[in-house]
Amino acid sequence: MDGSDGGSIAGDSEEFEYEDQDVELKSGGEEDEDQMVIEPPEVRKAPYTIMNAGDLANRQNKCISEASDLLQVTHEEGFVLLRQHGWDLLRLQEAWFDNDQKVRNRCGLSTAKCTSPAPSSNLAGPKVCSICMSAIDDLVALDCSHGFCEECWRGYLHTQVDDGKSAVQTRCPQHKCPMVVPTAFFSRFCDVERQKKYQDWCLRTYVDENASVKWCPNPVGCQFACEYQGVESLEIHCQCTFVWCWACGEEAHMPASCKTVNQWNVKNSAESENISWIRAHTKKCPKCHKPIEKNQGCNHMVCSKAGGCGHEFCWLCLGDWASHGTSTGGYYQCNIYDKQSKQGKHAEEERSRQEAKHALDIYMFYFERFMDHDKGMKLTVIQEQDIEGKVQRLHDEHGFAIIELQFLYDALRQVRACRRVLKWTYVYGYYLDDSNEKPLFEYLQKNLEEKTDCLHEMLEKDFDKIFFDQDNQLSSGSEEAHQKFMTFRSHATNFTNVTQKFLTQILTDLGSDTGLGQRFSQSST
Amino acid sequence: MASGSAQSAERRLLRDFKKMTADAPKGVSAAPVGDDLFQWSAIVLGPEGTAWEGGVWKLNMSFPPEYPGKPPAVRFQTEVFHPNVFPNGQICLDLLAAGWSPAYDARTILIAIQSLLADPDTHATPEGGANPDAESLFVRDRQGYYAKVKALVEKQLEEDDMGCLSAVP
Repeated sequence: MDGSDGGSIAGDSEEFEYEDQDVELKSGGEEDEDQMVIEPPEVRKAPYTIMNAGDLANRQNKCISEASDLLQVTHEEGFVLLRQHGWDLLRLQEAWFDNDQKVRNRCGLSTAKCTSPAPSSNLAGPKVCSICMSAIDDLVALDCSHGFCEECWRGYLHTQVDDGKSAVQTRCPQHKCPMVVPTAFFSRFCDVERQKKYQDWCLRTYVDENASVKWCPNPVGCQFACEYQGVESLEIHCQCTFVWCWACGEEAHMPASCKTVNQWNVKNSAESENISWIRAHTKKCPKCHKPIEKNQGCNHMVCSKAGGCGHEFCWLCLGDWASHGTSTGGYYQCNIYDKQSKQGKHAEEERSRQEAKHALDIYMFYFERFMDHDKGMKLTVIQEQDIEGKVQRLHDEHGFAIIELQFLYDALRQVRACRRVLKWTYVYGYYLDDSNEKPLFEYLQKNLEEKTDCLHEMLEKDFDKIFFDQDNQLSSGSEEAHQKFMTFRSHATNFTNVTQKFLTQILTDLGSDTGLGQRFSQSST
Repeated sequence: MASGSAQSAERRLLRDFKKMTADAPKGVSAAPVGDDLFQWSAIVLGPEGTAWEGGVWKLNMSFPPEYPGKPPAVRFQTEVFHPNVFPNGQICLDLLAAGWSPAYDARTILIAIQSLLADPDTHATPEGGANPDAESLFVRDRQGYYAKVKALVEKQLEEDDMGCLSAVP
């Protein structure tokens, strides 16, 4: 393994070359986590925490324990109190020490005053469940002593759980009684399935009603949540590989701003684009006014009888086709068109159609590239599994150490990050005015796109060519094998670093508040 | 489970009906239609001393199998001009939605509706009431609103004279 040692030193030294920029820009994330470089500890620590269900439960429990210690209440009461204060202990604490009785009443805890009349069961005579109106001796009640029979409690709690996550704030069935039904009641009256549902919702409220914790918005579904205490917007790198924007909950979209992304999404989903297409590619039948697409060469249009009126007209002048016969001077002169365009009758319509077509072309240009990168980015997730298999094979058949192959993952994740940023640069570019910013922006974009494509191709094609080509099987342990591997490795590592450099550059140049143009003019003077 | 809950709903509805007949509150009556225990027909008389006095307001009550876990759907069958009643007769009343408690019964619902007639809740739906015309008239010109209600009562009486009021159980 002499050769590999030498190569690894060369590779590492190159990684160090660009490390300064990494440290400046990135505040955490999977690319950094996996790079085998030494970073100062404060950089490695992301300002947010990714949590799975178990972590969430622990965190929730810890939060409840803190509250119950501090306020001298039970765990159950702590849960109710925190839930109604958005899991913000400080907020709860302030309200509590201001007037704890008021908080208790508001949250429906046991000493809450009930405005509902005292239950009739206190009076002489048989006890009556006020849900089923049956006379029953064993009524079950919360601290408010509104008694109901077990059967009715069961029915009531089942309905509450079946109704959805609001079950966590179920109150006493009595009219206007604020008393919250504790978990113990759900355990007592619900079947296992409903108990599980209820407990799941109890856990989910920790995220749903908590401003500092959000679910990962990965559109394919994700069980992880993220906790972040800061105010500034941030890109969250979830463990499911999805990277998202804390502020707007969309996919991470640097260099485009949240506002631009929103605009773009509205534009993409809106019917308005279809309308533009219709305006650009169709004309209305002059008789029945249905939009008609010209799908054949000649200008003799027949409004389809199936959906339209069967009217025959000229595409150019929209005049009746009957007047285009040879008897009226022939179609090719189309004197009616001349006359009408002089009158400006159709000129206006024609111009707006041209404008719509032009705008649509621009939009399609950016949209197609946006989608291409999106697709490329999503493919890397699948490719990662593919690479995993190949790494295993290289390890088993060629005797490479797994750690030596780490660079493959780094490269692929680099491609993914670049594709994501490239995707959003097209949105940024679509909304960018034709100012002096544009040439520099396009230059930066070109650099990144070119290098990303190189690296992606390298990973897809070159890698396979060297190791997995049937005609070119490397004999394990041969000198040639290691030579080729080292060359490929050094290339891939190099390109990973180069693309990282371009990525950093485009983000620092476009992502800041000061305009690109300002920087551009500064650098040119 | 479903049949069990429908059974308990039936039992409860029978009790509701018994209570209704034994201890009928003033100006309110209701009974199941035919032998379907889950469909009721009800009448609410206009509260005395209000513009609604003298009017007879017919309603339909449709109870779900989960009753009393869930509230019945209640609808006016007679024309009503009221800020909290949609033109199709649907009633906007907290008690029949989020504010429902299984401790309510048919009797309490009808009493609540009767008092709603004379005492509309103009803050129930901030984004626009069930009947915006009625709401704005009620807020702006109370006498004009009462005049419209009285006109409806008159109309009922005329129709009644003509024998159009069908028998209500």
